[in-house]
Amino acid sequence: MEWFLIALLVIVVIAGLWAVGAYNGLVRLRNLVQEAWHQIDTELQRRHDLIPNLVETVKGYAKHERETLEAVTAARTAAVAPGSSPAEQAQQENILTQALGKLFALAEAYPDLKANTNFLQLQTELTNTEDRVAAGRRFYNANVRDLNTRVETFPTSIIANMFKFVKAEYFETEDPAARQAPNVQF
Amino acid sequence: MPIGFDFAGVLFPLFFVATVGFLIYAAIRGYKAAQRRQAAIVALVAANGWHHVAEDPSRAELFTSAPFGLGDSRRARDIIWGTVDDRPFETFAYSYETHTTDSKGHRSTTTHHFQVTWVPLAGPLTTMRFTSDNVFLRAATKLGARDLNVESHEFNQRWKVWCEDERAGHGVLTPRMIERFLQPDLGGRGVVIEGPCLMTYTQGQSDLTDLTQTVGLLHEINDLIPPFLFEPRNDAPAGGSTTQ
Repeated sequence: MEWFLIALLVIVVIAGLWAVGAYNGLVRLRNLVQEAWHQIDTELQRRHDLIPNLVETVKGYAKHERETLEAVTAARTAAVAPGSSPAEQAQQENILTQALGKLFALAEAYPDLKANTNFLQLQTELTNTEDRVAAGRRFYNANVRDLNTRVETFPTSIIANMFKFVKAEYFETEDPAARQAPNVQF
Repeated sequence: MPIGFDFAGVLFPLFFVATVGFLIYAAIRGYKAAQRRQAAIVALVAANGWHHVAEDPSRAELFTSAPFGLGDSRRARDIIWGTVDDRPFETFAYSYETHTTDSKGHRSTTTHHFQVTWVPLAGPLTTMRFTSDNVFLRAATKLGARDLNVESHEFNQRWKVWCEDERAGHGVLTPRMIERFLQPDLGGRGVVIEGPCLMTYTQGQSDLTDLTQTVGLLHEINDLIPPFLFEPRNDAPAGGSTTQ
C-alpha cells in the first residue's frame, strides 16, 4: 500500500510539472504572437504614414489621375481604421498594395515624376517598409503556427482548454519578395 | 620429429614487409597528391590574379560556428583571396583533430578536413547556421535547440536553421531565399552568417575546381538578403508632416 501511494505521488508530481511546463509554454507563445503583431502594426503604421506624402507628390505631376489617387487614399483610410483582426487587416493591406501598385504603374507615364527626388525616396522607403512588414509577417505566422499546433494537439490541448488559450489568426498578405518572377532556365 | 615448413617464420616477415611497403606507397601517393594540389593552387591563383599564403593561424579562429571551435590542433592552410566579378572572397582549407580512446587505452586521432569559403556582407547580421538535416541535428533539436521553421515544408525537411534572433532570421528567409536554398548546388554544404561574413563549408579536401561557382553561390545568397536588414532604423518620415 505504501509503495502504491509513493508511486501515485510521483505520478502526480510529474503530471503537475508537465502541466506547469505546458502552461508556461503556451503563455510564452501567446506573448510572442502578441509582440510579433505589435511589430507588424508599427511597420504598417509607418507604411500608412508614408502614403499622404506620396499622394501629394504624385498629385503635383498627375492631377488628372484622380481615380487612382482616390483609390489609394480610400484604401489607406480603411487600413488605418482601428479594431481589425489580423485577417481583416491583411485583406485591407492587400487592397492598399494593389492600389499602390496601380499608382506606381501610372508614374511610369510621367518621366518628371519618376525623376523627382522626393518620389524616389518615398518609393524606396515604402519598399523597405513592405520588406519589414513581410519579415514581420513571417515571424508572426511562424509563432501563430506553433501556438495553434500546441493549442490543438493532445495533451497540451487539455491545458489550453482549461485556461482558455485560443488559436490565433494568421496574417496573410502578398509578400513583395515573392512578386518577382523566378529565374527559369530551360 | 618430422621437419615442417616454418609458416610463422616466413609469413610474419612477409606481412611486415608488405605493411611497411604499403605505408610507404600511401605516404608517397599522399605526398604526390599534395604536390599536385599545390601546383593546381599556384596555377589557379596566377590565372585569376588572386593571392595565396600557405598557412595563417588566425584564420583557424575566424568563426565560432561549426566546424570552427571543435577539436584541437586547428589549422587553416592554403588561404586564397581575391575577387570574382569585382567582389571579394576568401577560401582556405581548415582542419582540426579529435581523439578517442578505446577500452584497451589505445588512443586514435582523426583529422577532419573542410574547405571554407566566405564573402563579406554589407554589415553585421544575426548569426544564422544552415545545416542539412541529419540524425544528430534532429536529436539536438529535440533537446531544445530551436529550429527555425518556414512555410515551405520541403525547406524544413532539407534544412535545419538555427538563429540567434528569430525575428531577423525570418527577415533573411524570404521566399526567394528559400527557393535558392532548395537548389541542388547547395546540397552537402553548411552555410553560416556570422557578423559581417557569409560563409559556406564542405567536408573533405577540395581541389578548388568549383571555387568560382562557390563564390558565385555566396554572392547570390548575399544579393537575396533584404537591404533593410543592413540599415539602421530611420523613423523620421520623408517630406515633412505625415499625419492626417
